[in-house]
Amino acid sequence: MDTSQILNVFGIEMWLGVLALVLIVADLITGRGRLTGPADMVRLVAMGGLAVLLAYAFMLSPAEQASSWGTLDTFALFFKRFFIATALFTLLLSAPYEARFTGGRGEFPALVVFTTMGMCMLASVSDFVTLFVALELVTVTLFLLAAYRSGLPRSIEAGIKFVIIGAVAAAFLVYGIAFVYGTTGSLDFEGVRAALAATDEVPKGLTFGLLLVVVGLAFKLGAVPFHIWVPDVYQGAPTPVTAFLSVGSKAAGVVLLMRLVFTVLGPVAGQWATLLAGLAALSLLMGNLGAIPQKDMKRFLGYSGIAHAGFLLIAMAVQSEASASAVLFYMVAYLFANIAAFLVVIVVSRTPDNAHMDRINGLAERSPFLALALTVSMLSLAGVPPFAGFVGKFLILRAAVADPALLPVVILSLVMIVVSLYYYLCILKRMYFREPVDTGVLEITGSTRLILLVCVVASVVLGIYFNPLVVAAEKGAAALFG
Amino acid sequence: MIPLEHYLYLSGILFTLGLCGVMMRRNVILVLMSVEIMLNAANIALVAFSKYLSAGAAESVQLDGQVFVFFTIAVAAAEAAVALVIAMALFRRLDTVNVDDVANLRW
Repeated sequence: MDTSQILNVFGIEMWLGVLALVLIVADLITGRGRLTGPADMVRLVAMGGLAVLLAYAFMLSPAEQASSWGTLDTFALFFKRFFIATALFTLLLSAPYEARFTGGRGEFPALVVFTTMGMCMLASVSDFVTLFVALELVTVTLFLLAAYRSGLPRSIEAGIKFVIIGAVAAAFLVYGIAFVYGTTGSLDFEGVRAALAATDEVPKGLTFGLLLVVVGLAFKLGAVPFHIWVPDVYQGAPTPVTAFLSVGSKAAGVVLLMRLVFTVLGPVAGQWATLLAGLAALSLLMGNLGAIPQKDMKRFLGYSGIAHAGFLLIAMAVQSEASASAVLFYMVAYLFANIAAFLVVIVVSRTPDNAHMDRINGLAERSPFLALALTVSMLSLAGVPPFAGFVGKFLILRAAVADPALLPVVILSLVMIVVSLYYYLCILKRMYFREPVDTGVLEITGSTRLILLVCVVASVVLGIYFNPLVVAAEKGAAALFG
Repeated sequence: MIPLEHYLYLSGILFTLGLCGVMMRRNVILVLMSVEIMLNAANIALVAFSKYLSAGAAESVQLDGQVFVFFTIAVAAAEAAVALVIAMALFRRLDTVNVDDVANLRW
């Protein structure tokens, strides 16, 4: 039991924990619940700390030898950078939103940093105990974040729905882990993998246990049939939290499912492909068809997120190195598109405080820049070239056609891309061809401009000059198959 | 010694009861209690497995499962604290603890 070994793997997490505690103390010192000045300082400290840690994560090189505490391979590092960047974006997004946190806002950055700590741990887990604890750290803090505007009925409603469904998912996960442990006598991934490889006939108890674990993780991913919480929580939660949920929480599900499917289930991967492909098909149908009639921007993006979970599941069903690296690319493209979309929602939904779709009507007249950013974001999500989303979808489908058994799902996904094009273009129609409903002046701060510019440029550049990220994604994915 | 199956039946029954409780109870507090029953069902299974895996291998005692139970208890406590905070906010703001009344977000 060597502490330095733990710190080798979980160094970033330790610093994130320290940062979160510093933020709590800073909030106490500068005056709890005060609404101007000091709270901004707490947020600035949080962003500074995260920026430093992001740079640190980029300088870190993967640990050579595997430790029994966790793994720090290129795959884990890729996602740690991804999670810290997401948290940084979330805090940047909360700047124009903060005035709406009427019940105090000092804890917000600390909660975001704690969630990030859990997410970064998830990227490195190599046993089921750490998996459970880290996953719960993420979910429990996200419960609080979803209900953060405790004066607002819809935020509380989002919180209570998220808590109940999240707690049930956690119970499924523990029950599944119990059966995995009971049938293999091991709680670490390597032991379970060895047990699966050793027998020709997998014990029923083990399959049952793994199935329940997958259920618990599909909940995080927001895949059908464990998606019911997604639209409600996305709509009710404060918008920066929704952005964090849509990118960070989904990526947390992705990173765990990938570890599980590609490494633990490796020996019996073929038997799970059908199940994953089935979930993918259902998510694609539910997400894309559910998004069409939506009248609320955040709810709409929730359904679109379910559809994207479907795409990610196709890649998991393929189980090749190409599909794994495609997932990593897809997540980065999804990050930039979603952050831009939610930031535009934050700016247009100020007064009155709701994200009804009418609010973006005629946005091109009111602010051509916001309209442009949302256009790029929607086209990237729809998978239109030359944006990053197109490359992500292309890479996943290219990996999927290599497996003839998945042909029906691939065809379904192509049909669904066309469907999604319809509803994403409806958003563009609202912005460019409808008369504005709101007439007030939009407050666009310098930082808002900067983030939108970064997202737009990233979506375009990654769509054209995608090679560096593809190479990085391949390097990250290779660690899973190492 | 009581056979392992008996413990698993017990935990299975508790888990199912908890799940039914979550789906059928309308009071938020009772729903949360049902979730706790589900988690405890998992704990029983873990401890039973741990005990019986040790019985097989005489020289090495399997404690992983029992240690894991401590983690789930601690995490469940944290989760319950957060859940109750949100339930209290719900009661203060909407004056109800009935989950059927919390249905403004739909379609």
